[in-house]
Amino acid sequence: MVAVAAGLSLTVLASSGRVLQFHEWLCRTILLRAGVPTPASSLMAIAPGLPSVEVPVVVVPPMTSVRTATLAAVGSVLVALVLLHRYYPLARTFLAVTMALIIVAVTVGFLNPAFTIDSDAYTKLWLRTQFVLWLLLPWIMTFLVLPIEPSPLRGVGWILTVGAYGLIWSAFRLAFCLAVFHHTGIAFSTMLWFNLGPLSDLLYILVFYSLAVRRASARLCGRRP
Amino acid sequence: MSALLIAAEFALLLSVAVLTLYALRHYVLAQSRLWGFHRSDAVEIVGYYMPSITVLVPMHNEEKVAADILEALTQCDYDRAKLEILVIDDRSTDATAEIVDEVAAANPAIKALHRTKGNGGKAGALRFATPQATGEILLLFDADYIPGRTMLKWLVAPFCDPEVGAVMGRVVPHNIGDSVLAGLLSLERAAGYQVGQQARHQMGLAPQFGGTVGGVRKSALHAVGGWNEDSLTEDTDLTCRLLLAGWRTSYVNRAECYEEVPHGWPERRQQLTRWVLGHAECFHRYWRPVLFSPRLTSAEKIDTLFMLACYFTAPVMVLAWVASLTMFCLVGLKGLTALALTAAFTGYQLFANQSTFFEIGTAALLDGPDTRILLLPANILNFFASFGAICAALVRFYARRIFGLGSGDWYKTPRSRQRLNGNGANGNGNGNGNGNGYTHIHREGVDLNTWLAQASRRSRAEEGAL
Repeated sequence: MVAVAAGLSLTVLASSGRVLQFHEWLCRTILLRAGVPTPASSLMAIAPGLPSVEVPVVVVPPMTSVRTATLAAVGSVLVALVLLHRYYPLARTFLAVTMALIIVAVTVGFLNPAFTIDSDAYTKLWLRTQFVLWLLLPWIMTFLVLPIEPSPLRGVGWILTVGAYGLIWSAFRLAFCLAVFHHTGIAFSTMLWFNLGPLSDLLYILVFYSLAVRRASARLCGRRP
Repeated sequence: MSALLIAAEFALLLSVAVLTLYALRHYVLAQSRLWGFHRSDAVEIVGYYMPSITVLVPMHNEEKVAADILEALTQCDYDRAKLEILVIDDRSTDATAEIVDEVAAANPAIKALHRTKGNGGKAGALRFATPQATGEILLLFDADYIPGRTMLKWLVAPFCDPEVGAVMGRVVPHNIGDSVLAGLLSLERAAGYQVGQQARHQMGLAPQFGGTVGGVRKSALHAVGGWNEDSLTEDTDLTCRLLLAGWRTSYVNRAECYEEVPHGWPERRQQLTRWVLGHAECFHRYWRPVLFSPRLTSAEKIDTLFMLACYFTAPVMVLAWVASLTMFCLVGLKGLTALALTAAFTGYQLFANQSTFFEIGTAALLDGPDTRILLLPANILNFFASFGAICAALVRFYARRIFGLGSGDWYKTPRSRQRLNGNGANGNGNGNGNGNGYTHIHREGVDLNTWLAQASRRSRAEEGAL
C-alpha cells in the first residue's frame, strides 16, 4: 500500500508542471466561456521547488466600489439561505454557518475598504492547497480504498480516477470563485473558501469512497477482504 | 493584536490535534475490524447455558409500540421456567397500562408493574423494578425494540464467564426508509456497533453497555450500587462503574435487535441532547477515577476517556472556527489558510459525525451489499445539525453545572410507528379488545416472524462469513 501511494504521489510531483498548466488552462477556458474577462496573465511560482505556471488574472474590485452589486448579491443569497433554513430543519446549522461566513466577510470588507484579496494571491493560495491535496490524495485513497477493495488493480483505478476528478473539479471551483470575486469583491470569499475549498474536496472523496465501498461490498457479500 | 493571533493559532492547533487523535482512534478500530481476530464470546454454548433471567422493559407512554415488543418477547425460544418478563409501566398517561395489563393477563411469563410516582427517567423505572426481579441475569429492552427469537440465548451466553458483568447486543434500525435522517442514523449505528463496539471487544477494550439490547448480572449491578437515578445516561454510568469495579463488558455482534431511529430532526435533537447531557455528566464524574484506576490498562483508560469525551469534539470544532475566522480578520489572506485547515477538519468531522466515515464504510462492507452507503456524503447535513445540537446541549449542561440554571429533565423519544387496526399482541389479529387496535411494526399483512427475517437480512454478514 505504501509503495502504491508513494509511487502515485511521486508521479504527481514529477509531472507537477504539466498538472498545474492543465489546471490553469482549464480554469482560464471556463472563465472565458463564462464571460469573465482575464485581461492579463501572470507567471506564478506556487511554492519553492515547483515550476512556475501562468495563471489568468481577474480584476477583483474593492467591495465599496461594487456596493450595489455586492449588497444585491449578498441580500439575495441571504434571503435564499434564510428560506432554506426555515424549511429544512436538518440543514439549519450548516446554513447558519454559511450565513455567518458571508456576514463576517462583508463586515470586514466594508469596515476596512483597503482589505482585499486579489485573484493572483487567491489563485496562489488555492493552487498551494490543492497541490498539497493532489500529493496527499494517493495516500488518502490508498488507505481508504485498498484495504476494502478485493482487486488491487481496481483499487489503483479508483485512486487514479479520484486524482483526475480532483484536478478537473478544482479548476471548475477556482473559476467559479474568481468569477464571483470579479462581480462582488470579497463578500463571498470566506464562504466560498469554506464550502468550495477543502470541504468540497472531502465531499468528492467521500462520494468516491462510498461508491468504492458499495462495489466492494457487492463483490465480497459480507466477507472480509 | 499579536497575542490574539498567537492565541488563535494555538487554539487552531489544539483543535486539529484533538480531532486528529479521534480520527486515528477510529481508523485503528476500523482496521482492527477488517484485519483483526474476530472475537465472539461463548458462541459454542449459545442455547446450552440458560440461567434464570428477567427481561426488564420500561415503558413510558409507549402505546404505539408496547404490543410489538411483548409479542416478540413471548416468542423468544428460552426455557420458560427460567424466563421472567417484567414490564414497567412508568407513569404512563396514555393506553400503555391497559395494553400491558391485557398482555400480562394472557401470558403468565409477563408481569406488569405500574410505577405511579418517583423521579422521571429510565433509571428510576429500572430501580423500581430490579428488587422484584428473580433472575440472576437482567436483560433490558426499550419498548420500541423488536428482539428476534434467539436473541435472549445469544445475550445470555457470555455470562457463563463469571468475570462478565454486562453484555451488549447490536442495535439495528428498521425504519431506514422513513427519511434521509433515518438512513443516515442507520449508517451511524452500523459503524458504532459493527465496527466500534466489536473492535473494542476484540481489542480487549471496554465495549459500552447501551442500556437496551443488553444484560447485566444482578450481583454485579448490586456490587456497583445499582442504577443511578441521577444520570440521564444510566447505561454509560453503569459501564464506567462496572469497568472501574473490575467487571468485564462483553459485546455480541450476532445478537441483533431492531429499533426505530428518529426520522425527524426535532426528535433526533432531543435524543441527542439527552445523550450529550448524560455523557458530559459521566465525563465529569468518572474521568479522574478512570485515569487513575489501578485496574485498567492504559489502552482501556485512553479508550474510555475518548468515549466519555466524544461529544466535546463539537465545541473543539467551534474553537477551530473562531480561531480561523479571527486569523482571517487579523491577517487576511494568510488567515484563509487557517480557514482551509478548519474546513478540512470540519469536513472530516462532518463525514465522521459520531463515528468516522471509514468506520461507516467498514460497517457497510461487513454488513453486505446495501445501497445505504451511498447516503454517506449527505452526512454533511446531519453533522452540522448534530453539531449545533451538541453545542447547545453542552452550553445547557454547563449553565446548570456552574450557575444552577435550567433542569436536566429526562426526555423520551417519541415513536412514529403507524397504528394498524386489527393486529393483536399475539399476532392473531384480535386487536386489544377496546377497538383501538395495537400498533404493529409490520406493514399490513406481514407477521412478526416474516418482518424479523426481512430486517435481519441486512446485517447478517457475520454469520458464516467472518
